Amino acid sequence: MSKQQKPVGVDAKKMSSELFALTYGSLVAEMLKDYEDPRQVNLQLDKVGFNMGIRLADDFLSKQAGVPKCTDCRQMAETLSKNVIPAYLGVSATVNNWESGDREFSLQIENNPLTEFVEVPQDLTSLHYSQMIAGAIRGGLEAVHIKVTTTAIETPTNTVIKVKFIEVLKDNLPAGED
Amino acid sequence: DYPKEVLEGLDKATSSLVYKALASRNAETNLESIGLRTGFLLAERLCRDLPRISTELEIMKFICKEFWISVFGKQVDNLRTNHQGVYVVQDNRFPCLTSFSDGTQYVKDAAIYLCFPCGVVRGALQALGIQALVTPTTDQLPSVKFHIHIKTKLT
Repeated sequence: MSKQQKPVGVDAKKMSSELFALTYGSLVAEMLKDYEDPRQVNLQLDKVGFNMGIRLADDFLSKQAGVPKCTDCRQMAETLSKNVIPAYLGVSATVNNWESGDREFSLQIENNPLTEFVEVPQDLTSLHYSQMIAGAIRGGLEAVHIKVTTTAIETPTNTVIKVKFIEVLKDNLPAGED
Repeated sequence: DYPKEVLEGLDKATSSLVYKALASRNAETNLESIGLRTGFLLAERLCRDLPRISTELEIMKFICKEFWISVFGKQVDNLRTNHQGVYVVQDNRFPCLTSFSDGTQYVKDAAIYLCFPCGVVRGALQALGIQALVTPTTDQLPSVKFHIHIKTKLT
């Protein structure tokens, strides 16, 4: 890649949040038209997010050297809400609703930029509009060997991401090799 | 919905296949329509607080200045017109193409990256009352020329 002249005045890595939110909305609308089934759209958004998350994990670890290693779910939730979400969404999140012995929690994202201009129609209750964020969290954690399941649920005031811890992934050698 | 003549004389299975082939959309059209919607909404938001933009040339200037800055982070480098409904917008360093290396090597691969911005521009023009055909050409990355062919002005 050649990067001799940098554009003057604008940061090439930043884009308008309005453009981002509207593009995401158009993408979801287009997918709804294509798949005709909101649940299928959830799956695809999750996949998109997952692929983003895997890459974002590397980016995050390279930029934030001071983040300690997480040893339990509480620390994981803390890092997600205090470091990861503010870094990539620009808004803060709060952790609550601990369940099943600290294995499940909810991340509440206030003023989710993705939903700034959005009103999901009544008949699309099964659509998880912000599932891309949930997928990204799943992908990011999978990159650091933590397997979770995530769902994004839209409430009238904010977005709630439910995270459920499954297991810690171990590096296994492929079968048949010593 | 396609003319009946296309499907006439075909048995049911084939005709449904033909119908599917005609109805299905490829990646380019999908990206273009995502862009169209985005551009339409964004233009509506941007010109909400501005005085009324009435003439075709004013609309084009708005697209090349305010709109371009808010979408692509910079102004266009050149705007030309033949005064008969054809405008050529030139951007010498188009942000969607800056991750390609400069030169002519990847011109073909870059084509799909221009579908979305084309849709955005077309959507914005539509929001301002102009139906247009937008086609990109690029000879050397990262510079692009958008040919805007104005078809009919809505009233």
